[in-house]
Amino acid sequence: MTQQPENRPGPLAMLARQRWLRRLRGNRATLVALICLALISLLCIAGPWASPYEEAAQALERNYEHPSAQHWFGLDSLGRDLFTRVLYGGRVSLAVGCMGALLSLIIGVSVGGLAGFAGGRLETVIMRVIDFLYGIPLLLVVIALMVVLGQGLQNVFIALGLVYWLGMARVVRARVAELRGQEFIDSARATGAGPLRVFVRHLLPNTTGVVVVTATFMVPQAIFAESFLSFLGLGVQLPHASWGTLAVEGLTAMRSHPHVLMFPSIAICLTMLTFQAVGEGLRRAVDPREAEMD
Amino acid sequence: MNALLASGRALISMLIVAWAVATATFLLMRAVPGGPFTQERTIPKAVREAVEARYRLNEPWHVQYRNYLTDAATLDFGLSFDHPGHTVGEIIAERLPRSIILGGLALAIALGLAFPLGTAAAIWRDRIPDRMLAVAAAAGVSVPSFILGAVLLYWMAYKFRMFPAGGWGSARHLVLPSIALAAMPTAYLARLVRAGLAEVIKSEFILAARARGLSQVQAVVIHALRHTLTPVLAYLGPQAAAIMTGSFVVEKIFNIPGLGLMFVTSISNRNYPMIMGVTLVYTVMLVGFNIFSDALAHWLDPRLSRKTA
Repeated sequence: MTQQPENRPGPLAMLARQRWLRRLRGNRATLVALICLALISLLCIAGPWASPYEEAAQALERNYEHPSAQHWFGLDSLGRDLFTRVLYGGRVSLAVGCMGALLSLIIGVSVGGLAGFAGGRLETVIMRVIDFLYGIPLLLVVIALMVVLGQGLQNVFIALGLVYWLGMARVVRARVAELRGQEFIDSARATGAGPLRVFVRHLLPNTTGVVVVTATFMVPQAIFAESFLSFLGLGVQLPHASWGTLAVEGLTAMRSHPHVLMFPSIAICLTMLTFQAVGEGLRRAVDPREAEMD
Repeated sequence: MNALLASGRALISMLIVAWAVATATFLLMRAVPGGPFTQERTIPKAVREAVEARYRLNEPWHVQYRNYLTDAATLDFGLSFDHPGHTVGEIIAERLPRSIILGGLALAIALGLAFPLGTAAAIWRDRIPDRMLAVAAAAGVSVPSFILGAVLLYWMAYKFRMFPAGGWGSARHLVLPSIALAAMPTAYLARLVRAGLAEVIKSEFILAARARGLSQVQAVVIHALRHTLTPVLAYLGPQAAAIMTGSFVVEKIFNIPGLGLMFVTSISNRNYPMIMGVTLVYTVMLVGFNIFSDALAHWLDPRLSRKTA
């Protein structure tokens, strides 16, 4: 991906090096975002064990205490340590994001891959159906699904996964259709590979780039959608708390105790931001035309 | 002739989408456990039967479905369950204009900001305006609207008391919610404009315009900007419908009696006719805006039609 500058700096080598440097600079932002993301995930996964406070331990007489050295994010409406609650909420939010993205990845790659690989009438039909589904207000469908399935963590995964695969299917279809006609597929066929083998061994691996990029953008979308569902009272249910439910809890008390809203909100925004940045960086790395343009 | 055929086809697909959405909402709502008149305390059988008869809930579901479809076709969504004596049509007619005013304002803000910002970023590429836009746009797409709404509420309404904290009535009531609604589309649109311009700006016709003595800014504004309209329109279609029908969140935070807030309460109250009415309004608007923005794009850029033909 990166070009090594030549030893003797001619004009061409200079150009190559400049491009390389520019890409490195672009990548540095991505690297920082990746490190941030790793830190956030690590904190949320390991943090609760390290925290001296219990998630549900209440100290009613000290409710809404403002941030201090003992309680970094202060206490919430029932006197629970907000820092610990935000860490636990992060587990739930990240799980929703990753599981939602994973489910829509599985559906999207299967459907899009099938359409792109089959071609012909089947492809037309599948893509028409997807176009049609795009015409339906997606968020309303998620809301309706949540109403039907009932609240709960798994149902949030399922509702999000069932709805947000459309974009993935389109991307994968386009990529597979583009690869289908290429010579290495013909040669794989010529050596006797059956359709399944061609699809799994030769087509799917070549979609990895676009799939990873799309999935990276899907995680924040799912976290976003979950916080939105929480806002409507349709998100994850007690005793679980996500960043979304924490922020919604904070809304009611924000006038006199803004910290209760502020910390969960910062957690959501920071995570969204890092995922966007990582996705953007990956997109540039994967799509060379894009990288060339910038 | 061709245009007539295309609009006919668009109309048919719109009807199919509307029918499918209507059917899906009907089935979903019936599948939900708990009805609108399910209560803790048992009510006399006669009363329950009378209530169900009034709202035509006592008939078999396929009759309900047929009633519902024929009613929906004539834009009659029946009586609202939780507003005795009011039809869904009346409530939508009362609330939709508010959502449209607020959404239209937000959209106007977004368009009004996105074009100058995106243009500046494209012209001064990799310099300060571009960097600032990149940061602002990243922030814009990362902050959920309810958080932005809450922050605006806290600072602008509670701390500085510059604007009312919510409600509906005067122009001042519109300021904070329209900013909260406009932030995300502004960020997206500004990025689209910048990306579109970045491609066009290197074309020969811009070079030619510069050679004729136009400044870079003039050349971009007069000749290049129109080439960014196609992706902008593609984004605006669905976005416009979403904003116009009222972001549920922003309406709830600022307590605006629009359609979005209505929808949220309807869901928790199992107010079937209301839910279906709002969903259909939303769907028709979404499809309508999509068709409209598509047609506009084709009109602006005839090459699009040639490619598909």
